[in-house]
Amino acid sequence: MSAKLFKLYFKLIFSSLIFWLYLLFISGFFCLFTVCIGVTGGDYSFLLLETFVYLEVAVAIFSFCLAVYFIRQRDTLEKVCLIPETKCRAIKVVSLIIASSIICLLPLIYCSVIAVSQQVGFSYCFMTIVFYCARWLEIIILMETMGSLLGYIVKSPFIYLLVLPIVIIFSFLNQYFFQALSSIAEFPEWTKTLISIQNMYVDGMAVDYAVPRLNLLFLSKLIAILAFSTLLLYLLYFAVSKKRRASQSVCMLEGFFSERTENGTTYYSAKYGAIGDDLEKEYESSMTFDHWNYKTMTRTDEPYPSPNKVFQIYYFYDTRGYSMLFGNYMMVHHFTKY
Amino acid sequence: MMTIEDISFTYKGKRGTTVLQDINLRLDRGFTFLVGENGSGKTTLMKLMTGILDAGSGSIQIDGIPVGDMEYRKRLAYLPQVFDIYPSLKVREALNFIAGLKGVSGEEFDAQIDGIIKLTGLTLHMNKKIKQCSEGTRRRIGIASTLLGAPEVIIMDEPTAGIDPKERLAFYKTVRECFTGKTVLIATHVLSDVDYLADNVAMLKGGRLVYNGDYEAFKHSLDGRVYSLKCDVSGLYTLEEKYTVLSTKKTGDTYECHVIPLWREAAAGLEATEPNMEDVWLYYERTV
Repeated sequence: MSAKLFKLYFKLIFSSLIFWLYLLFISGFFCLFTVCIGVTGGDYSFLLLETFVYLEVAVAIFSFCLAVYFIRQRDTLEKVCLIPETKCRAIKVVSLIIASSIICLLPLIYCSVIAVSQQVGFSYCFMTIVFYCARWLEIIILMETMGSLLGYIVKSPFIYLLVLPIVIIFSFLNQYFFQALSSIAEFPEWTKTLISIQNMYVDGMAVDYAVPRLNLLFLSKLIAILAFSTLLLYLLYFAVSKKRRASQSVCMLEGFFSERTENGTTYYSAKYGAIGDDLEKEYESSMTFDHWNYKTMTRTDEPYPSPNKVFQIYYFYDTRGYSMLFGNYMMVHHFTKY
Repeated sequence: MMTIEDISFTYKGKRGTTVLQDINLRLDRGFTFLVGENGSGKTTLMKLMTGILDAGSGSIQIDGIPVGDMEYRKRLAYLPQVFDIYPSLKVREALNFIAGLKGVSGEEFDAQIDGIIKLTGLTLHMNKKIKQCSEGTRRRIGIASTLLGAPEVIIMDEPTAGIDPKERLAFYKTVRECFTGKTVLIATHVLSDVDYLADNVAMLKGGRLVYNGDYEAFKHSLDGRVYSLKCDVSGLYTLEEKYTVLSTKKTGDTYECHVIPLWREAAAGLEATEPNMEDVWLYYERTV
């Protein structure tokens, strides 16, 4: 069944316009990058391979957005076949990572062409190719697992904007972020390199020749990133399996609250301002009125369940003084007409 | 045959909500309609039957095979409320994938798909992309998808929600043609759907099964007990003191209500009437 699911997802990915746009954009950026190297460096040499870091930021951004797009596709076809959702999501993420890894051909082709034109030794060329392909692969894996997890949990379309802070923090650009924070606190060098996908744990000295640095430091970082991606994948699995209990929306109440607990129900009300009111009497009074059904926005006289938490809000607007129930939570108009 | 025995279900959490209590149900061949108002537990019961949710206690079986078993899955088909499968796939491609994922293989693969395409009238649409198909055609693709793998039990979750009466009739015509001889459970709110197809009815109220049995018996269970009376708007408020109020129809300023008297003398002077489906539904919802 898994093989058939992979086949389905590869079909969907490779027939998707979004995926081809992804390849097109990254290839376009790559062409732009090589032109820039030609303009600034004069020759397309191994010396300038380190400038791949700028291109990798684009790879990270597009990979994240691609994962968000695919993870949000409805899975009705899989539901019809009674396939567990956890399995579908996991296979979808893996399929996407495999399909996206096609872009690793770009550093491979680039290095091969330059190696031939500059007559670089085979082993050096091979090491360089492995190094850059592995680094691009880790960027794709991390960004696509992260995009899948966040795209699944956060329903808002603004999730696509979240790619910017994420890429800044997880790329070499984080040095600017930490620089901006330097007025508040001084961060040691290793904090920047630790969370950057592009840097190694210990940043080597910038020398004027490019070394692939396919060493233990690189491999340990690669393993750490794979472990982190596995954790993200597990969190996605957890979110999918527990989603029936997950809230689809968040309500933030800001202010100073007083808190009291009676018979297992916690009551929150404004701490300052109208503290002279008899809150208990107000609550009892509100229970004698109808309450609003927030889904249909109609008043209902169904009996009140015993809520877990009660928020007594001073002038709860647009409900005309009536209370509102959200599952185990209840919002009560404070300053009501008892 | 599908059997559900002693099924109760409570959503886990700090204050667990019990959604189903002591459900015992047996589904034989034919069309059984699962009815009940929102929140009565219909969807939860269907999720338990499809294995999406785990009941923990009790048992759900098809011919003695328990839910969760691979063989159980092969014998069951499920059609969700919204059949919005990947729009970029062609109809034939989608059916190929569904058949493959349901374990249809070998010589049977093409023969079964071709037969179902013909049966559901999709021959002219098989090379169209799903996004190019009309709503009615998509519903037929849904029916075709449930038939793949030759299941014995078919569960449909409000399959006619959001479609117009003409398409609804066409949908049920196809359902009747395709699913005869199978065990079919259809959850719905639409009373006319029940009247069109039902052999049996199972009614849920507050997580409990309040009726389970023959549809004709359900339909006629209030015969001889329903009366008709007319009143104005002010009269509506006092009716419940003497009657169980069922369906109400407004004509001008007058309301014609179908009622069941709470005691025999309250029927004095009232005209007996034939109960409609809405009366029966409301009676079970409000009183049982």
